[in-house]
Amino acid sequence: MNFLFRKKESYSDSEIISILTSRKKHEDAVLHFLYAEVQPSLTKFILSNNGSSDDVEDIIQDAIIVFYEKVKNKQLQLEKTVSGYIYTVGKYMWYNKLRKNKKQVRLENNDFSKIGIDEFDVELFHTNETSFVKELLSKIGKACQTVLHQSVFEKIAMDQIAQLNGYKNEQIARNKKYRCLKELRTVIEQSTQYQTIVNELCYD
Amino acid sequence: MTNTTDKQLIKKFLRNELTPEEKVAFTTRKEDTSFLEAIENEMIAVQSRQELKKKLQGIGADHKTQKKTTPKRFAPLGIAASVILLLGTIFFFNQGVNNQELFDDYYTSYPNIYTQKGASDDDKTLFEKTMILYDAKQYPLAQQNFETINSERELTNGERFYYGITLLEVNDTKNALAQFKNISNTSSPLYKDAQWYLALCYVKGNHVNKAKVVLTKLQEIVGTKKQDEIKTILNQL
Repeated sequence: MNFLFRKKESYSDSEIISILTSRKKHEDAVLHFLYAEVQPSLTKFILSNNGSSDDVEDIIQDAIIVFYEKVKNKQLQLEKTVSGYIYTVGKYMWYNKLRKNKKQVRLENNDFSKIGIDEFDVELFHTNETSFVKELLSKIGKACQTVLHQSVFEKIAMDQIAQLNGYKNEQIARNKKYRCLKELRTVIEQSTQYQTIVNELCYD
Repeated sequence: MTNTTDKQLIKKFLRNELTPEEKVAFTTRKEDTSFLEAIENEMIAVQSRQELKKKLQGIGADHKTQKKTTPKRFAPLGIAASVILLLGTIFFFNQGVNNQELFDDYYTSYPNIYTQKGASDDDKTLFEKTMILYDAKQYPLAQQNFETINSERELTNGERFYYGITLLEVNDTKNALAQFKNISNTSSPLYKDAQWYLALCYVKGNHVNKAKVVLTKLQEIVGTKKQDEIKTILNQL
């Protein structure tokens, strides 16, 4: 038997996209690789534009998340390279953050539309949103959260979801997903936030 | 794909920031099934992004640690050269180096050799189902299954081995060590690999002398070339 030792992997752009799309085993290694690839350029950019090292880490992580989602949703518009894409997303995020903090920024030519991202793509985390979502998803239970995460976010095929969760077959997994979504919809419609909007307008 | 206006409405709904005009637009749209699906999908994405963020924060912490203290990287090496690096770093540990980094440098999970292709789900044993979870890196779920099997009967060496790897993946080094230690049958095909992971567990737990003992014994059962190389290293410590 061969012993396994950690090897530092290098991935081409097509390998990165293939691994993330088909959810192959090396997904974590790809994330490590991407982090190392974009760290120098985004570090230089952010530190020279009123940022701290904590800001650097934050932006790198968020930019990779945007890239990850675009790949999963087959919405990636790659102009040049993957690392170039993530760098551009990171730059946009940083400019956005500086603008929101009312800091003066010298904007370069706007490349962001060319890679198909907008402000909604880059504002990933918002306190109200996170707590509202957490509250509602907690009402549908862990099993539903897992199946919906796997299906909706990770885009895992239903037969694989069945295997991962110990369901007897694909149809059972599909039924589970359907019930979970139905439950989620009910929870949304019964939420105070939703009811307030609906009732406000009914009484107008 | 959700259009920009819907995206805006959904985001602002989730953030409780809809303006009066947007509330009207939201109420109009809420009868549309695709709009409701988009709200559901965005909620799932919000939570999933949090999980991915945590993973990336861990990766970021790894990178920070590696930048500070890791010596120069080497190209992939065979067992002897890697053992040289391992033992050399264990020596440095006695002067204060963190063995967690050393563990992180050399640990990698073991591939599944038990895949049953073609068998229907009904025919699969709990272990086979667990290995599917293992393959998919669903280690917490795999751990639960291993605990179930372990509660029902004695584990085989193969099951014990993968249980050990699973426990390492969920950061339960103490119990992982116990599993590898219990693979004591030297004629088991996984014995040498189990000894390797046992050594890594000792390294991670900063049990340097025990790591040396295991590696010394390992030296005796690996191939001739490797034996000489490990012997040379041990003589230098």
